Amino acid sequence: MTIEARPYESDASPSERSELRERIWRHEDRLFIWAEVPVQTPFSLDVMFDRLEELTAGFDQFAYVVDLSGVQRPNARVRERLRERVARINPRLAHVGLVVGGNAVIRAVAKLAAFSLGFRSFSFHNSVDQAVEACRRALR
Amino acid sequence: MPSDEARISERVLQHIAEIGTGECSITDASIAAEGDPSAQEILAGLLMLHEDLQYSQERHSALLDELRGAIRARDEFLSVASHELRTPITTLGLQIDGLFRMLQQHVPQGQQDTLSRRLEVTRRQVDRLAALVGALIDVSRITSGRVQLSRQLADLVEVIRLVLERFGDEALRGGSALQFARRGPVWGNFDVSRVDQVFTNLLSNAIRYGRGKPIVVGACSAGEMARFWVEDQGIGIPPEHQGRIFQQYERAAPSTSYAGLGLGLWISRQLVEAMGGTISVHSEVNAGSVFTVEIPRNG
Amino acid sequence: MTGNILVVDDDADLRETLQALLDDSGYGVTAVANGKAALDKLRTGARPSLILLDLMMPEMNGWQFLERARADEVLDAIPVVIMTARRKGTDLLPAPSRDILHKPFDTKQLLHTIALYAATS
Repeated sequence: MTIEARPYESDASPSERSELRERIWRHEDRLFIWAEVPVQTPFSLDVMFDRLEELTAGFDQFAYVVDLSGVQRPNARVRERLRERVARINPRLAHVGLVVGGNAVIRAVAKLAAFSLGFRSFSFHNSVDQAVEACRRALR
Repeated sequence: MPSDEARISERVLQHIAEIGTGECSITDASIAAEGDPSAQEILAGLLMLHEDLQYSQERHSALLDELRGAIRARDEFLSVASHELRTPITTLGLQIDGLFRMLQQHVPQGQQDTLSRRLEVTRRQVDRLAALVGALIDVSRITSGRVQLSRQLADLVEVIRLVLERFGDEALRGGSALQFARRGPVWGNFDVSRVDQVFTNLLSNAIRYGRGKPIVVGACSAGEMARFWVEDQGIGIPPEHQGRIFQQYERAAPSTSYAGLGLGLWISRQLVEAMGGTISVHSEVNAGSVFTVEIPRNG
Repeated sequence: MTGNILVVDDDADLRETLQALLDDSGYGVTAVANGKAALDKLRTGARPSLILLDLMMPEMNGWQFLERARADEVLDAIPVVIMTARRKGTDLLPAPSRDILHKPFDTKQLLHTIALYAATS
């Protein structure tokens, strides 16, 4: 992965867009993984949520893991777009596993952010494996 | 520990006060440096709140700018459209004058009546169009702040008398007798054409809503001010409307019965206030109204 | 002083109306559609006793025409009456114009103003 720690906007090249999309993949059954980019923008969120929606199109219910361990604190504009995009998938979302790891600032922000984004079932973890386990339990 | 809690509470309150003034000294680094996780959460939450507030204000500003732009565009359009209308109105008027002339020159005296009346009606409509366009232009000037006054030494009584002369015919058609109550000249530095315009507006309203009853107009000095008024015995204005009639596009009378754009009184008030004066109304339903204007004699 | 008037206005109907009206009133009339046509007419030797000039015209507007007229000794001497929809007192009269007719104006105002500068033939 060659995504840099800088904001990606609508002037991103096609290959950059592909890379963003490749950061979302299906791990198993109805469980997906989202490797968040270091610097989120409304644009990167749109590209990646579009991909998640594509991948989850056939499912009544699904869960996903978001790896936030390398992410910078999102600004107000980003949080607004997050709210909008989460609202679209929320009805089918069984659980979100948020990997905060050693990211102190994100850890501090995560709880409040999760509430304000409207996630109905979520949990915080130090590793992707633990988050996957939590999602499996929720999907049972 | 209680003292830690007290300390964090104090800091939270300080930050809240700060955020209220649009500032926030919390940073990602200061959050990370904070030892206690719940303190971190609280501070992070406050910082996000501050950022949400700032973002909201930015969008509000942007919206305001958009609105102002739209209003400017509207006023521009109004101004251009109104000016464009003045050429065809000129042509119409001149053609009608020409038709009147041809009528007098080529049609035998006895057969002139019907055609003459029709031409008069047509002429009046053109004059009305011209007046409406003039009102639209005034509105666009006033709303974009382009009113310029040009004062000259004049006798208010004379200005009013000239307007009354112009209105002679129209008043008679409405059935209203016009009476001028005056006591000697009222000299001052006035923008004659604007005073004329305001008085004309008040007088046409009095005739329009006057039910054919007598109309009394007056003018006098009141110390440093000059005062003039128009009193009718017409339909009057209900108390709940009296405040609103000076607003743009407000009509206290049903628009199905009385024609007009509802701009006259608004324009009059803007002009009177631009002259440094006041305009007011006393009115009673079915008894009549008196509109009074006071303007400084020495602008 | 001859009684010839040069009418300069881009509105065809107004040109026709003014032409008929002024003709009826005993003036010789030529009407053109813009400042450039007016200059062409004047350069062929026409010497009207008055120019009735609209301001807003395509190709060469009234202001541009007046600029050219000012620069020419002979043209500068011909009185110009401006016809405009713009309000009283908000415009300074650009030389060599002498007077303004505000649209809409009626026949009386028109003839009265013209008579100040041109005699009937």
